[in-house]
Amino acid sequence: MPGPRLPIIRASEIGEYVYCARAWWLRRVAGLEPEERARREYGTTLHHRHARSVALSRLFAIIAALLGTLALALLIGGWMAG
Amino acid sequence: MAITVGLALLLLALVALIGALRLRASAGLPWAPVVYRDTDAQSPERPLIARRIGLVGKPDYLIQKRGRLIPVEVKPGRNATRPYESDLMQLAAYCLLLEETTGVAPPYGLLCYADRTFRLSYTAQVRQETLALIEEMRAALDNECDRSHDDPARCLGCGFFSMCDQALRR
Ligand code: SF4
Repeated sequence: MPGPRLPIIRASEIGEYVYCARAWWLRRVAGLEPEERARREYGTTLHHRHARSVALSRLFAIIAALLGTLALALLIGGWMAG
Repeated sequence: MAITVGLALLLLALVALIGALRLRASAGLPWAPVVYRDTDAQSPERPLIARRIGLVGKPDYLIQKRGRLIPVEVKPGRNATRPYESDLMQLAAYCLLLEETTGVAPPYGLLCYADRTFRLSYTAQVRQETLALIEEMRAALDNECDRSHDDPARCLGCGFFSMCDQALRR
């Protein structure tokens, strides 16, 4: 039989708790909101930029593979014909 | 003619490959398949949920290396020569989540700052420390929790500074 449900802790809360237990408590238990909206929004922008770099690196790798395959086919075909 | 075009394409392929490797290196991630990405607003991932220990979370990335999943936490605005303890413990929580949800413990996790990537070995001790922290936090839900450091600089960088009764002011 399953035991009682544990209160859920988020992984990001653990970082906050280690930074300062009071900060975590003020948000989680006292329900206050930190005054760092501008910084948070900037962080989100940086995260999206990071995601774009990772996605672009994948796209470039796919393009490299396609071009490489095409190049090899042309080179082999050219040598065989010549 | 075919050979000339072929050589030109080969050169372009090389340029694209170098671009791919550079972009990935600038992001601080190793060259490995990304199987989970939560940094994108368009396709938010579902959180990992470990009900047994009451822990949830969304790592920024999960990459696959030698058949193992590795969690990655990204702090692109952070610049430091040493990783912050708070960031390491958050990463440790993702390692624990991954172990609980897949049944396989990751060997390590990666923490990407603006220009450096750190590696946290996910040892039995790290696992134990993370579980102990979660227990401590759960117990604190029913009690008042006090400041846990004596560092004024930390308070100054805290979003609760103006409203906190325990803030350290220089
Ligand atoms: S301002 Fe308060 S909550 Fe923030 S770090 Fe200082 S003591 Fe902790």
